[in-house]
Amino acid sequence: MTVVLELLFNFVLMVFFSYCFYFIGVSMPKSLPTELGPEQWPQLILGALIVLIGVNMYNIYKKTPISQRNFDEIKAIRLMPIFKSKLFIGIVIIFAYTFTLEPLGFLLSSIVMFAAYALLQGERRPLVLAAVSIGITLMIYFIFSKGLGIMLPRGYGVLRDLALLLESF
Amino acid sequence: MLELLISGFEVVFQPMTFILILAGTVLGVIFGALPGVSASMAVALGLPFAYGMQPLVAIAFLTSVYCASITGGGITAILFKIPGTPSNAPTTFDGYPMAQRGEAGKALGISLVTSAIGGTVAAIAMFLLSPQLAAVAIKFGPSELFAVSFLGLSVLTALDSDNIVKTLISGLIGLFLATIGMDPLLGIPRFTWGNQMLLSGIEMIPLMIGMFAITEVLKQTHKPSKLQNTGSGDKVKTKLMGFKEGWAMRGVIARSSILGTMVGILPGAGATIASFLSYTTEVKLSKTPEKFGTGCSEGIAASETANNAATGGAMVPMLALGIPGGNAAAIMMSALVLKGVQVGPLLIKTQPQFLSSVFASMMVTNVIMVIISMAIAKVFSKILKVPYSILGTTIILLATIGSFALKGNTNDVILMAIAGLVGFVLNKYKFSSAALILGLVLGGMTEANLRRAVTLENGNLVNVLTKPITASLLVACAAMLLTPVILDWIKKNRDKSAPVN
Repeated sequence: MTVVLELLFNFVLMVFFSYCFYFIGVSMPKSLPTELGPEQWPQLILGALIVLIGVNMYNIYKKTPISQRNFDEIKAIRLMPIFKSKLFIGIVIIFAYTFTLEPLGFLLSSIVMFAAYALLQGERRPLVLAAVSIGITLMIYFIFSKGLGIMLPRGYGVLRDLALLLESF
Repeated sequence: MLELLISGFEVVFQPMTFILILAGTVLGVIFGALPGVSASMAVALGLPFAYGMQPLVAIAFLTSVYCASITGGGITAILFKIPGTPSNAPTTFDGYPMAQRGEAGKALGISLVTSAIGGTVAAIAMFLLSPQLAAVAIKFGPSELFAVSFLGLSVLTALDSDNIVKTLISGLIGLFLATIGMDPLLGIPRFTWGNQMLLSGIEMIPLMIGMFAITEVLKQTHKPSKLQNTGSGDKVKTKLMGFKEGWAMRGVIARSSILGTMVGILPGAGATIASFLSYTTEVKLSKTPEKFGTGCSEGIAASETANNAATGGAMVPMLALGIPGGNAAAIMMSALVLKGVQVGPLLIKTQPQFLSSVFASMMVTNVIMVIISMAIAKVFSKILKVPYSILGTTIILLATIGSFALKGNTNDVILMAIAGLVGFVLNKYKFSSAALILGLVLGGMTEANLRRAVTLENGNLVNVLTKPITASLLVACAAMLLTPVILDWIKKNRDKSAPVN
């Protein structure tokens, strides 16, 4: 299964970089013969990348024993176990955090993210979860916003007022 | 020279700077000692603290975090067989067996003193070598500067000799990422697909923070690693190495200091390569090689002296040429650029106080980190009781601040998260994040210099490449690129021709 996924990953990279190679060629003005144009350096890199990814795919295929070269395995991939995995949930938490940072502000989004991620990592005691997520977030907030003068996102509306109130202390 | 030295120590001994160096050392030792926090990640996590500082103070602070993190990594390597940073891995070979014998205090003492000696020797080498190198580099034109930056890229194959093709692909992806944004000479947008965010290019700091900090947290979430306590971590009392013992190992310490500094100077090769190389060299040179791996002092000394010496070495190309000697140096360089400091050969000539304050902060850090590490080692078993559920999540918070505070923009935080995910996938398929970062850092410089050189020669690439210095440097690049490939090929052929038995 891993081999198939690895080959698939390399194939996606190859398609993407081939598209970039084509795109830079058509989107840049024609270069003068006396200079190295803005498309030539990227094309050099992308050309080398496409060749090396091809070599890598060949190496992976060659190193895999014949018995394991079963590409039907790709049909056996089930999405549900992936969606339920700790890793996937962790990625979702991190991305949700980055997107809510601005509207919810650093304080609320960080407290929620902290509690959610710590829970995911195995911290099951509700009191510890609440105390640590609120305590550490507030501590970091004050160190950076008051101590080091770094303004962190305050959020919109009421959340912004709350952050300003806290900063006034 | 003396005036320069004095000015460096004047900067470092200003009360506020000294307190920050002290804080950086504590932070570095703790970050370094925490398994899963590498030296580069320690520097990346130290970045948000440095944003509000003056450039000179910021570089002194980050230098102290960097040096101390390498030393701190030795604590967990000895007590728990988990290297705090990858460069402390060889320390586990002898440090852990020594701790199991009940000599954890002695092992820690050797580790701390040899770390300080290695760091000090490298700091002196950096102070003496950087101006000489910069003086030569200042005479370089675009073609020579292209060759110098290409030299930095040529160590890509040495970063992971087992996966040369994958390492090269990673480096090329880094070079490709560096082309995103405005073209450096003509100001034409490239690969932006009409997106305003991409116009200024890929921000290096959020990408580095993502690839080091977030990737590591995701790795720990996917497959958590467990600590193996020797039992001595609860009541460890560091016994500093005596003069007699140190004198008996003078050869090991001297060789490892020189080797570590030299490896550190090579762009791309860092503390990890230095410590492994030094350890294997000492095994080969030893009259009693069978003792290595069973808890011998020389093993700890070789590894810890070399990895600390590499920290000073890594600063040489950064300060003299504007080429980072490793990932941590790349992060420091990005921080300096962010502060408006033009890193490169001119820096030492126009602002020599940067060199002297880096030197002075390294000297001071190497002394105080011994005392701080002794104190931290005492309470370390308590620090390690902090579960990863809290530590990992705190790392995400610090990484977020480090990315956000760069420009006060949440897009950089999103970039950090994407970089973390990409780093995880690349790591899963054994691509090299270090090579990608090296490509990204050196990409802009390499392209701009090559294109300038070609324009100056009216489009004649042959003229650019056959200039004496450029040609010599490119031959060196080819040798560095091809040596691991050829060695790998010879090894494979030898394995094939060897009898089955």
